[in-house]
Amino acid sequence: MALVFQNIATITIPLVDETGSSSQFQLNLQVANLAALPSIIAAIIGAVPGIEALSSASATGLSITLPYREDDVTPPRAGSRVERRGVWDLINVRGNRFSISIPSIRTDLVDSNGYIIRSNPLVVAFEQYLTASTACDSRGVEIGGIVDAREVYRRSTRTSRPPIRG
Amino acid sequence: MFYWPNYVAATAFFQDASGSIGRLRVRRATDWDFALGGVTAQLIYWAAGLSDASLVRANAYTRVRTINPSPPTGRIGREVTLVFNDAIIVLPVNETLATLPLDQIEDAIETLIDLAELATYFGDYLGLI
Repeated sequence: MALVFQNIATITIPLVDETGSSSQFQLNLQVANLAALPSIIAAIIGAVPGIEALSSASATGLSITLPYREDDVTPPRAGSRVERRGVWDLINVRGNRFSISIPSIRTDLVDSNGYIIRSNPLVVAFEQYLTASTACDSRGVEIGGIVDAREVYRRSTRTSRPPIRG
Repeated sequence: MFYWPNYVAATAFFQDASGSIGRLRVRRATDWDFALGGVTAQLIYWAAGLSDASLVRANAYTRVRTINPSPPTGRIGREVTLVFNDAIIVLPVNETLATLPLDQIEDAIETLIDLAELATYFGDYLGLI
């Protein structure tokens, strides 16, 4: 049971032109191993002025996406639904709130009021790992504490629904 | 100038009994380290233990911002796709280049193609679409 790197990297450079229109330079690349990636990124950053010159636009950033696949997928339990989420409300060390949510939270971990049973040993272990790790919010600020944990229903989006087969 | 990232985001994809996909997003404070490291993978597995759905795949994502970007000098005309043996590059080109036939665009970006072919990780250049 492991998440296996698929030896592909997608590198995206968003570009904005003088009218405010945006486009992106995108590169899908086979990467034999992750050790090679920093030198590839450095080469691409070096090529940014050339890309800007060709497009007459300005680069506003650079992103790297690496896909991984689980090599031993366990089948989902009967009746599981990803819309039934366990949401942890967190507070960062600067006092701002944010959240982390787990799709299809196990029903035996939720009490009759819809709160996550935080005394359950599995939940205790998860929360200990969460707060002790370097997990952070979208600004890179580390977790200061857990405020609350509860079950929330979120509707499916078109992309999250299964395909309809005829 | 590019900022170093201050976090790596990981999106884990869970599939339920109906086939729907749900996402878990976690972020790890880090410096210049792209991989879905042990700490993040472990956090995803802890979360998977609390879920009825199956963990099927995950993405690691890092974004680097630019500071003081140079102002744009014109407009983007179109996007062309350069196909190599081991890579695909989507390249926006300006309005002047966009009006040219593909073979002339190819001539205009020849230096970029040559550079990409020299780098071992792109492979041979196959064409422009």
